[in-house]
Amino acid sequence: MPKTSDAIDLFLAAAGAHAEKAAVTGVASGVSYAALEHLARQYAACFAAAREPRVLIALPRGTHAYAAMLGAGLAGGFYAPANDASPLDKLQRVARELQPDFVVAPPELAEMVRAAAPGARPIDPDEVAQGKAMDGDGQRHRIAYIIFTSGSTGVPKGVVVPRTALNHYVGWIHASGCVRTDDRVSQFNNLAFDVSVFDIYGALCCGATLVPIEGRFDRLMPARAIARERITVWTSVPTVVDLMMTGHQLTLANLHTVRLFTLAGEPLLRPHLEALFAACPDTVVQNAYGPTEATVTVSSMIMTATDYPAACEKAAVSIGPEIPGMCLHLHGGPHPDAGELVIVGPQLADGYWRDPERTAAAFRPVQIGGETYRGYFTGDWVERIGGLIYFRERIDHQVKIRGYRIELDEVAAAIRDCGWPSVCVFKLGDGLAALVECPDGEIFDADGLREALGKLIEAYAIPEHMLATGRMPRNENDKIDRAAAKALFISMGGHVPAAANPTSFS
Amino acid sequence: MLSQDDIYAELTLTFREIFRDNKIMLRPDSSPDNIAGWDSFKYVSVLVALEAAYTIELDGPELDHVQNVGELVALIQAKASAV
Repeated sequence: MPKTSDAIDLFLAAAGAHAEKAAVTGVASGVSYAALEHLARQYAACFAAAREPRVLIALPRGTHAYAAMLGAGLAGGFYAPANDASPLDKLQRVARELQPDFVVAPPELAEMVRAAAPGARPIDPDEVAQGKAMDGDGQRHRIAYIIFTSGSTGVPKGVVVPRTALNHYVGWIHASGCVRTDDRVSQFNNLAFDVSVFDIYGALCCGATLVPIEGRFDRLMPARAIARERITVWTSVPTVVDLMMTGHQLTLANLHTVRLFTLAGEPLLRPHLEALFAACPDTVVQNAYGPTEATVTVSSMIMTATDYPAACEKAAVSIGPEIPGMCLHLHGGPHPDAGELVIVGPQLADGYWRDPERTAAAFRPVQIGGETYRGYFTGDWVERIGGLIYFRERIDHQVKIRGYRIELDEVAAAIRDCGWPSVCVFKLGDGLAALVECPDGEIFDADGLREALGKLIEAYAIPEHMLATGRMPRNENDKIDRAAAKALFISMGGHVPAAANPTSFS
Repeated sequence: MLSQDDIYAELTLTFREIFRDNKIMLRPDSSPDNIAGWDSFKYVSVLVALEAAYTIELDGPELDHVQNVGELVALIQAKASAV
């Protein structure tokens, strides 16, 4: 791994070296590196009115959002990206927690967000583009950005990512060849979802072209946008591959320009690989794993059409080895090849914004080879099989049913192994229930599934009641929304019979 | 030229099949706000079915502005008539 450089400095160097090249292109956005640098400097000049400026950015994907991010870094501050499509209440909760100096948003939205942060100054993107620009290399704050995720109490949890962590990650993106200067990199992920960091910094810090996937239709039919925009590096959650399959878009004609698909943010499954390689036998797929608390991704499994089966264990796909400089440690398992995944290394976040208690609970000392390190305890239970690490379940998805300790994700994995890749298992009343996604044209046979599950898991772990839905509820990051899935299950009349005779499950 | 009534009839059958709900009655103001279960996957399935049924190809700018079924029907009518 080469010496890491500051991401903002890398952007300035790229802008200097590729001034006339397209930095951002797309249906609504389009700007050269020189123009993007100038706009970033205009944002920096605005933000420099405050010391160590704290910037909340509520803009759609596009040139102004990227320039505001870079401008915050240049001005010696940091930013928090908010999903501009989120409900106002959520945006206000983020603003309340952050108490920013600036809110960058369209004027009407900025005013509404400021109701929760009255000290913040609204920044109208149209006015910034008319203002003066900052000269020089600026200053750097130790924090790069804060990503707010849903907290279990309803208060957003801000993950504070230091600049050193971002710099390490960006260094890996380029050293590994994930993004090269001649690439056209998709920007599909919403800005409040940290996988977008891969897209934005990966492209703009090495002179590649970033292509925001902006329109509603393009987001429904992303493979057509890939073809039109000649995307070479695609990044999204695996669910988007499902969407391409639904839209009959997984064709070589649509995807032939893509040299690398990076899939992250939720478990990648073997059927995703089979579909991608069937359409594009010459492409490469990367399964990237990582929590926001360790700066986007910390592992990488690179696969081709010929070698991917070796990375699969039934329906699961290995998360791969750690990236250079990071360490994945299995902690607290019954043997060294199973346990909670603990991450150590320079990409660890500082902790949670103004929440020392929660920070101390998740970031703890861990002993590895007789040495003590600061580790992030992910809550992800993993197994090492044949030297490869596989995600198994979330530890906090463990429930007790009639005295039996059951891992909900283990049950879900068994259902996936029976041929139903998208499933949500949850406790309902005194029992276990499952909502299974059954695509159009397929027939869901609950009794047949129950019989198949009997060969994989204990009888007490087989959900008493299973229903099928045409589409699993998903959140704004396209991950399965467990609360909405449970609500849908109940609205469909689903229930779990009372356990009158517990012995029948033994 | 295809009539809007014909398109509504075809579209209603498509929605019923994809949403697995024989009670769906489409109106001009039908949208994700008033049809349960209308998500990206269902919408993509509807669009793919319409492209096949009318031998048309929908694209971004024209569909980005469609807010409800009435506007979708008008778009299909215009596209199908141009084929």
